[in-house]
Amino acid sequence: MSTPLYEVISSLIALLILSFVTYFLGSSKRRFNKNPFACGETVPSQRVRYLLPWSFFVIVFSALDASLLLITLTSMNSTPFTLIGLIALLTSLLLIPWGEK
Amino acid sequence: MLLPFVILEAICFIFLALFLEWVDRKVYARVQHRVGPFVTGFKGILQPLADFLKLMGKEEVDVEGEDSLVLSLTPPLSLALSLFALSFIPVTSLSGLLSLKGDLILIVAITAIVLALAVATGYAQPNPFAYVGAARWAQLFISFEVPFLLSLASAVLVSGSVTLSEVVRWQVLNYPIAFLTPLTLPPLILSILAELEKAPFHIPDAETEIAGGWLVDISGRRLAIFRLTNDIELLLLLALIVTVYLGGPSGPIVAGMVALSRTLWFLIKLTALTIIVSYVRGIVARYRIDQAIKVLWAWSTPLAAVNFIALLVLKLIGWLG
Repeated sequence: MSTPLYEVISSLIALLILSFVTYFLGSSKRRFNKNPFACGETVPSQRVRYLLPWSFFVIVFSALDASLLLITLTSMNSTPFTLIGLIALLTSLLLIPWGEK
Repeated sequence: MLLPFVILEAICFIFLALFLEWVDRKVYARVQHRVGPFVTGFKGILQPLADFLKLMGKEEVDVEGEDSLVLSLTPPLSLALSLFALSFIPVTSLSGLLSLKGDLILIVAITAIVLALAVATGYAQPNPFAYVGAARWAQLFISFEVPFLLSLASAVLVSGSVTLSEVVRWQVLNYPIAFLTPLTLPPLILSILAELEKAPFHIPDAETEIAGGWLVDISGRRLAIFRLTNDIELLLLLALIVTVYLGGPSGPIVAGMVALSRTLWFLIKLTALTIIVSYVRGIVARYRIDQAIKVLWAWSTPLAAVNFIALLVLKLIGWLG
């Protein structure tokens, strides 16, 4: 039997409050550094820029996730949509990103 | 009114997650011929709690140029979402404290959001190590999400439901889905190791290489909450395997002690899985990111897909009912 939606939402809000209370119970002492520091070395401070090629991977991944959700939701009744989703998934496997080397 | 029970269960889950961290550290240490934690509490069982409290009391280090708002919001948000997802896991009975139609999809979505928050944390720091770690997280995320979802889809195909309580009931009436589809477990466990940043996939925080990666400038209470969230994620994902593939809390019941028997079965299965995961991370070395992507895309995904197709064919010819 499904839990009423208001109970689910109130549970989420209660857990958010619990987590934030736990967080704020911790020490709020702060120290300020001008530059990042790692492994005994000061490293140059820099923020990453947005790169357009990332959006390509986001699009591929969204397509993959959508086809997987389609497979998951339709596999209960084994409709043709399951097969279509699976074919979409296997085709998209051709776009394998190999990452940094 | 479920609210007090949800809070109480969340607190119990926090202590259970700290217990699993202790099991993990003990097994990992034994594999390396070390003793592991042994000072705080019986055989060091309270060491994870002591570490958490110590970190909560330490000062935070702010760096010029960091996005303080993001870094303050992501730890408690990740913790709250992980605890919320755990409320749907059946422990003492055949359905969770919270239950929704399609809650399996909700849990998968929540794990993805928690990972996105980790990536955002890496990008909010003005440190090159942090954004290399965050970029690796994003690459790894793309790689393990597909076999992870395909493995879960196999269980949905067999049980005919995307609701956890119905998947568990199907297994109680028939048999654990792992017996029917054992080939689904390796890709699922590999995906979960990657999702938990456990060896051989501890690439985003590789301490000897990128000094902690996406967590490099995180300290004090932020680090404490992130480490606790990692323990909760370990509990959540292993509990998901127990629920979807190993029959959840089902098992032989002692008359008159149904809830206690179910809880014990759940804990036994969960601890056994933790020992397997810890053992695996103790015996393997870290992959490079390209090797990890190759393992997850070129081996894990096709294996999960072939398994899914085989199950689909069995279902179409009526062998799965």
